[in-house]
Amino acid sequence: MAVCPACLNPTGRRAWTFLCDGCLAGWSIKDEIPTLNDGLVTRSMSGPLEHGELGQLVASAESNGWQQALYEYNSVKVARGAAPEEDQRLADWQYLVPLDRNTVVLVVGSGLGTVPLSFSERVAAVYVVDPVWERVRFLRIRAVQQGIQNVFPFYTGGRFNLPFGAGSFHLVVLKSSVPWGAVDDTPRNQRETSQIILQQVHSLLRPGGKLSLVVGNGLSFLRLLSLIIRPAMWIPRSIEALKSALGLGQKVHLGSLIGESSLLGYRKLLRAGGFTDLDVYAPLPSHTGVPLFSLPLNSGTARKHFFSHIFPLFEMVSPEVKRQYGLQYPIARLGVKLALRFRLTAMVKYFVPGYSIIATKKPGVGSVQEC
Amino acid sequence: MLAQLSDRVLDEWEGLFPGSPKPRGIQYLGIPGSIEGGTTTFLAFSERQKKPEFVVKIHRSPEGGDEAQNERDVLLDLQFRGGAISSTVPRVILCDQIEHRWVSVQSILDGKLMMAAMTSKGLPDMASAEMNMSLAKGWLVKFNITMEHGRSSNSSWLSEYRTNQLRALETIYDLSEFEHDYLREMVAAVGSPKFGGLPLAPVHGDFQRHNILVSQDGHKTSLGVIDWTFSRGAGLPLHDLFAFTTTYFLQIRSTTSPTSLMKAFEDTYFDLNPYSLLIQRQVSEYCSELGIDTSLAKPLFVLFLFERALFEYFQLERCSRTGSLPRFAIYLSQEETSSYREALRHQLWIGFLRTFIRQSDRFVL
Repeated sequence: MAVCPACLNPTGRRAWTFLCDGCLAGWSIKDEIPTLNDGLVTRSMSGPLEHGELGQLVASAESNGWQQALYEYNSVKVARGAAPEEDQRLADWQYLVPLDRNTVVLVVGSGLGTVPLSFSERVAAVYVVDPVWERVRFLRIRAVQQGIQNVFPFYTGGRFNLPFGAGSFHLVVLKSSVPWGAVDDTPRNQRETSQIILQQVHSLLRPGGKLSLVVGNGLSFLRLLSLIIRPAMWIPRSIEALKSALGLGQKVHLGSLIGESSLLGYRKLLRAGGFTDLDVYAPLPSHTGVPLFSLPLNSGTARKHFFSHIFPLFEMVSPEVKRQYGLQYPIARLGVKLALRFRLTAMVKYFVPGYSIIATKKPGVGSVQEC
Repeated sequence: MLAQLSDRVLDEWEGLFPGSPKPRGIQYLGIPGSIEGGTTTFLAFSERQKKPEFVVKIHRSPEGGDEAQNERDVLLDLQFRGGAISSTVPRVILCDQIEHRWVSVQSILDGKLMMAAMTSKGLPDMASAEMNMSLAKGWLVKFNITMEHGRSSNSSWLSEYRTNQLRALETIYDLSEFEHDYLREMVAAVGSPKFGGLPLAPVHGDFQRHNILVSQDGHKTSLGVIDWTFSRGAGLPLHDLFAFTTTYFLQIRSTTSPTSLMKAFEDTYFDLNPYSLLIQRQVSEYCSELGIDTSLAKPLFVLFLFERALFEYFQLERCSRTGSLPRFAIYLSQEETSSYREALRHQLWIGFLRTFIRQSDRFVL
């Protein structure tokens, strides 16, 4: 399945390395995980704090089992007033895409394994790439301890250079918040990076294959509110975003695979990238963390029903959950009231915190148009 | 999966929704619900009407078949019996496996979820509590009467209950000798010949406000009850009423801590206040309407708590097999333990059961 990222020839396993049959480049295999960044496992790119917690997660999983490790990891988060970063609900959107025992999936960003392991029960194979060694390692430990044999993690290091041939996958899952380094040695602005990422994903998909993309909204109501309350904070970022949009931005190695944009921006980006039939959902309350709702933004009746009948249900959650959302909920509640009062529910889709977009690769499209 | 389901539903539309015009397409609104429940829900919308066309419930686990088929059977039974209850429960439109997952498609019930209010002193608002309790009790009475012909005798049932359920509880939780003896005494009490045999009752299994819809038609207020996943045809009487009365206050409390949960429980059952007296009255009326001896209320309440403790353990244990424990379960166990296995045992309902056993003399019912 794996191919050489450099020359795209097949690779074969030789003891503790993968060797390219074409250019003879090699990558080491550490703890049964192919490592793609020149064979070296580097420190977590997420910073020392996460490296510490993730390091403990992996160590505990190895000695005490993944369930105990996950419990300890999440206990720290809950003690801080946060929620576990993943649970089974994170993967519930999978029922919106067609899957069967022949499906092959690529998950970009393993998280704590919830999404790839959930898919593994229903598909032929799940390939997972992640730039954070500890996350890949934890996924591997979980898969082994849970007896799951069709999940194949790859450690990529900081380079988004994937070792798979064109048309390898029926579904690619991409969460833009996964921090990555760069696509190659050339410094690029965010727009260029996004285009190249989509180009790669496009080529990895079979015709008619699906891309599931979870992204933040550059025009989210929280962002706009903080712009009003603390404008000084956003001025530098806004200038950079504008420069990037005009192709004038500083060319740097940036953190996100797909830069934040508006709904219209994503539509344009995906269509230019060779994708069609965009189903757009708003994961609520946020695209980060576990969604409590997944609102189809293409359906006016669903939107109206949600705001009138379902949104008020938040009043029923426990005080602990309400506290977790702080000011977000009262602000959102005010926004919903105003939207219903002035019949502006159709506008809400432009201001939700983020999007979950399921896009289809256009059949018969081989190349990508320039944006 | 949902695309495949949509195709099937649209193909069979005239048979599944007779008299209803077929929509052009369907969009789904996802409502994952709690992870302990083991299912995720989608509301199906078309452009032809403002409310959803139907609801889809998907069992996340490949082993969800028993629960899906159980729910289907109970709902079909209720529909078959007709009467006032049949219009208050969802109609099963389809129940089948799609892409190796059990899927249940059900009709939509009218109404909004039952809301409740608090006073500034931290107790439930009496006006809304009284109305909600009456509605819930009234519905449960009708439910019991509708299902009366399905009741089985209790002789072997109680023996099996003692053997299986009680033993499971004793195995899972490290009960003290006092707790052990007390529970056995309660099981013996409900089976006492003094009561002439205990008629078993139908059980919804999760009769709480978030599964109850309230609709208004002029001056008439009706209930609809959803989520029959954990229902069964024969169980202990008063189970659903106790589920409602116990969780009512828990869900609307304003303070945040495990202690506040225990306080809400104690205020409901061990403290004499307008709210606990309301509960007392409702339980008494319910027993009277269904011919249940009110002196059974206490042992039945203990067994209700013990069933909930077992149920909670098995739900969490199922969660832990595939992922994280729910946030609330971690939150409750944090101060007691650092082991996830122990966390499964340091949860809400076993805490209530132990509190009850310690303070049973103060029980207001």
